[in-house]
Amino acid sequence: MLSQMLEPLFEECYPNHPYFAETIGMTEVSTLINDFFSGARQSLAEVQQLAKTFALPLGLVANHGNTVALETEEKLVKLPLAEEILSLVKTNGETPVSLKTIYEQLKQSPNGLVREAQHLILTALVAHRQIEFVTSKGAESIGGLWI
Amino acid sequence: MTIIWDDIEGIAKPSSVLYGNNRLTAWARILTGSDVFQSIDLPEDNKAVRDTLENWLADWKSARVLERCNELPSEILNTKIWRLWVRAKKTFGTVAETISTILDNSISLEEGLYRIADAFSDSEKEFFVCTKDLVVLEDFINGVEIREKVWAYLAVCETTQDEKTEYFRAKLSDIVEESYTNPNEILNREIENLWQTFRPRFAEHFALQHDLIMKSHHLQAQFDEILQSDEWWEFENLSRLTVFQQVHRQAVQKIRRQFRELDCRFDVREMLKTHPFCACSFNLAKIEEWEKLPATLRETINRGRTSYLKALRILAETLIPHIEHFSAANNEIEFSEASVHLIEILES
Repeated sequence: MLSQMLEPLFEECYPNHPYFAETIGMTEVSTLINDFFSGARQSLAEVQQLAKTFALPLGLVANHGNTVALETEEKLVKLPLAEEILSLVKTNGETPVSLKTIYEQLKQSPNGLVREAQHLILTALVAHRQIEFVTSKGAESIGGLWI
Repeated sequence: MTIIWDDIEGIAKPSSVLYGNNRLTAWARILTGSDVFQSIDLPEDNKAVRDTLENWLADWKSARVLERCNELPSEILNTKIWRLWVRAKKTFGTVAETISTILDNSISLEEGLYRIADAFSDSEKEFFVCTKDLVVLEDFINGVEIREKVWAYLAVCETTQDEKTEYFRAKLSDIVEESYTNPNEILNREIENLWQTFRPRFAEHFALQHDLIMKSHHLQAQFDEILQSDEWWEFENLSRLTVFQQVHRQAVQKIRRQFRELDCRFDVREMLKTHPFCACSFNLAKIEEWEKLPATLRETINRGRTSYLKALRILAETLIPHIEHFSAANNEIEFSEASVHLIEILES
């Protein structure tokens, strides 16, 4: 009842927030990263279902008949959320953009994205080699993360 | 692998060099060994690259290197092989997964080739080292069956007096050991060849010795002769008496049981194909014992007779009056003569 009451308010505050049919959590995000974005078990029914529920509303995947696959690089970089992240990276030049900055920016109106959803977008960008994660050890490419 | 978000400090432009399509095409050539395509930029070549990758994947799946290694009992693997296996999983295993995702259109050909290049750190040298390691791993797996078979056979295989057989055994043993730590196709072939030389040679030696003993008419004749002798008659009759120790009777029974095993009916040559022994009790180390068995039987019988006689002489004072009494009660000359003879023996 509370969520039904708050829905119009959220709609007004965060008009760009995609609609998720279920609540996104770290478990779902981990499964999508490990099994979908890495390409390891993309065709598994439960992985496909998670991709349809969470990655499709974010525009990170596209329908291919009955299944979904990673969106092409060209389309991914044109997504407003991706453009926003890539713009921050470009502005910073050689200096990494802290995750805190990303979190702060994407949770603001009109996006209102929780960290879990942001993690999916960041991972999709890494998968397409648009960005790299930076750890205390240095940059981590897709190979460093999944291979 | 799981991403640990707390370890990630931020994001940045990719620092790694982006491979151009020429480099990616080169990787398709390096991996598949095919040069039927010029560039992945060309639509017809794009198709050709996919076809060659599909062929590579089919070959990989058919070879089942990682699966076959996984199916081996862990006690067979040594540290070196285990490392090669882990490395092959990380490199060629990843390549196979990547090609699968290229072929089912989950990722683009470019992205797939990019990941393939990454798997080998974009180094042809690294690729060839990994290929060489994969060959070593495959040679180890291919040699497992023959190596384990030879090892199991040699572990219970008796030594012979034949110098050449022993030479081949020592060489085979060394090469099996070597192939475990440094596997290669040549050693696998050498094990196979030496095995084909050693096993028939050992089998023939064993079978010959086996037949000499276990099918020996001479031993059987000697045995029959002993059992027809007066000494045997005397021993057999006295040994049944409970007044005497049973130790000699039991020793003789044991020897007779051994004799009954002569005339082995098993097909020893057929058995020697899988085990270095016969199902009967024969073994090479006991040939001399078998050969001396008639003499041993004779000695045991005589030892028993001497022991029995000694006991009878101790009882002479009691026995002689009884013998004289029986002799007097019997009118037959033969009985009287035997009684006199027996009394003489007891008094001597």
